Amino acid sequence: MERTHVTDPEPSPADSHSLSVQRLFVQHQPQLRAFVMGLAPDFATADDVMQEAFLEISRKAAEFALGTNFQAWSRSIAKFKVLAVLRDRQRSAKRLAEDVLEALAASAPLDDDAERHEVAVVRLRTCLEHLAPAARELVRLRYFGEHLPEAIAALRAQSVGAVNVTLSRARTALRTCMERGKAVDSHA
Amino acid sequence: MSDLRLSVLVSHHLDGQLPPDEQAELEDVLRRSAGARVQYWREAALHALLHEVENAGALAMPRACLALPRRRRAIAALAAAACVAFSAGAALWSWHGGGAPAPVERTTTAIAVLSRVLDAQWAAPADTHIQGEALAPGWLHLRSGIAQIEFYNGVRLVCAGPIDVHLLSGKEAVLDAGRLSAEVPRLARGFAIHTPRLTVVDLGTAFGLAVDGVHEEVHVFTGRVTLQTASGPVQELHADQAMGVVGDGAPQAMHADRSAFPSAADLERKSIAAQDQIMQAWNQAAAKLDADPALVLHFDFEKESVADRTLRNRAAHGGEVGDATIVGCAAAEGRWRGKQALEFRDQSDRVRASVPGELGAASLVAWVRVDALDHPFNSLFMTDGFAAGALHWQIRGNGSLHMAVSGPAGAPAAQYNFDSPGVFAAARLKRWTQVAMVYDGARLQLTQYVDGQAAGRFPLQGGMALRIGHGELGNWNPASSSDTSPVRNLTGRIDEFAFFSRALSDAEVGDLYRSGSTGIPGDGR
Repeated sequence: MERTHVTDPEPSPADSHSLSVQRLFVQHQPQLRAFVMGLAPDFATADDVMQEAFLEISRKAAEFALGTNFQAWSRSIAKFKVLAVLRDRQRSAKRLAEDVLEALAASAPLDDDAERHEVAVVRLRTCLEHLAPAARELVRLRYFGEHLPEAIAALRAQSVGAVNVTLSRARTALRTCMERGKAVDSHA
Repeated sequence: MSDLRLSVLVSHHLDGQLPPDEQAELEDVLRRSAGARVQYWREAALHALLHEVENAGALAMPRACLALPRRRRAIAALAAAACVAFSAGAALWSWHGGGAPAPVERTTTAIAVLSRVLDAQWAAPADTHIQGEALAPGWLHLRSGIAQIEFYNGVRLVCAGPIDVHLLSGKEAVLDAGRLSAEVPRLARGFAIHTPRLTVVDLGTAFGLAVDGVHEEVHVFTGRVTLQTASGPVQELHADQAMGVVGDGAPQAMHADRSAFPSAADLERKSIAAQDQIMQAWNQAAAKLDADPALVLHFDFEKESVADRTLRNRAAHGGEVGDATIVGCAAAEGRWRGKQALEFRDQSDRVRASVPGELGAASLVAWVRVDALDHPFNSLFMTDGFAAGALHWQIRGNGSLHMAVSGPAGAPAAQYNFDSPGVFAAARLKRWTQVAMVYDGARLQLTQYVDGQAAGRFPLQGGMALRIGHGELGNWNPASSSDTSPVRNLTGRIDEFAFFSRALSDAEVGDLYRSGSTGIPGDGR
């Protein structure tokens, strides 16, 4: 009997396993990225770490048992990548001491929860709308424009110190705004 | 160090503005104080969230793909590989952020709709069709039962199984074997049906057509048709005329016999009779269910259960658990004709219910028709807010059946999540599905079911009791003072919901599925 020629074979179990692991990475990416940005707050550095972490996670996919704690596993890989990337650019990047980064990594809260993440995103959008227009604009330049305070100061014809103060106050206002909603939730 | 001072230092650090003396100060406090590290992460979380929110849309694509052109990294090839790997899982990104793809007009190849199905048995499981399904050109192999096909030009075919019919285009079909009646409105004149020996072209009429081996017949009930055999001349047949051919013989005139063919009226009559039978069987099963001492809530959504905006709880031993309140929600047809359902379509649509107390075990069973997954989270049944023990039963935008329990204070995680991926793929949308969730605190096991079969089993952490309190079917109340909350309404229908305060067994969930699925048209299971 003539056999049908198959041009598009089913993925092998190994392929489908690494695809599942990559899917987990995609699913958990916002939380992992937040972890990385906590250790390496600079956007470009965090991008590089995420990229390296994705490649390493793809390489090591076979070591991960599906159903076990992906967040813990991916964080341990990401932490090593943060340290490696920061060591590489020791001179150019401002960074905290390695023992402090280790202590921070160990105390990062578990936040592996897309549902709450969604609520936080929605809340932050609202809280941003409530910021004073000048502060709102600075936050936009900092996070959308990805400018550092020096550049923002130049753009806005302000002193760097004034930009620092406005950003710091804006963050406090946003945190207060977001935590107000949370406090009510926990007593619901 | 004061919280305010720490906050300023962290802020400077996040902005790359930390002079050496401030850096030493920050490092020192982070080394010494666990409380400072907690506060650090609160600030850092906002830093990451702000970057995500401000770049919503851009971030909907993996950063590994985006970062590159902007930062001009040297390892372009590696990253390109990463992007390819990402796109393999691209469906998962579908709901992420505001990064909606450029609007593309939807296209379809459908030419007809399977408008009614009664007791259908299809030739093969892969060849099964359901009532309401849009039909593209192709074969329908019905072994028994009746199927009514409405072409988009208005032609209606009523097909009685066994029948093999091939829809060729919007104005042409092939009948290989079996018996059908056709009703062609004036506007669809010229509709043609080919059989192995004949071509019947309609000139505005109703007629019947039968193919049984070498024997073929055409019966005209009203109007007229033209009839073409392989060799003979074109003939015209008028109302009450009929013609039969056997093999290669010449066509023979006959009397038209309407009763020999399935008709829409006939289908209507039969489906009303079948509906009565199904309702009776379902009512008996539901009454038995109501007597279960562990049944806390049972909503059937029937007319008799809906008074004003109140949805009656049928559970006989529901005790202090009362009726539910309907907000919004249009009435709709349920699993079969005559079964009532509620439709959830708008962000306001919801049914508010309440289950008091702490539960070590619970089982939730719902009959739903999910029409679309419009949101990242689409509610089935959800406790208000996120308080400890809250239960969130949802369907994620990627089709996972999702169950979450909020952890008690001091638990290692704020929330325990259980995902059965791929349950609500495109093929399951717009069809009635039984979903069930059994939370078994004694055996420390959570099981999710789809159509009576286990779709996922998960180990449970010990000591977590469920506290349902106030909750909603088909929507969510975030119970927060925040003036904005995510929209999570279900897009679809619910026509039955039961909540038990005990763990049902696999067999019990299977039985509920079987007693609830008999009437679903065209499922043939």
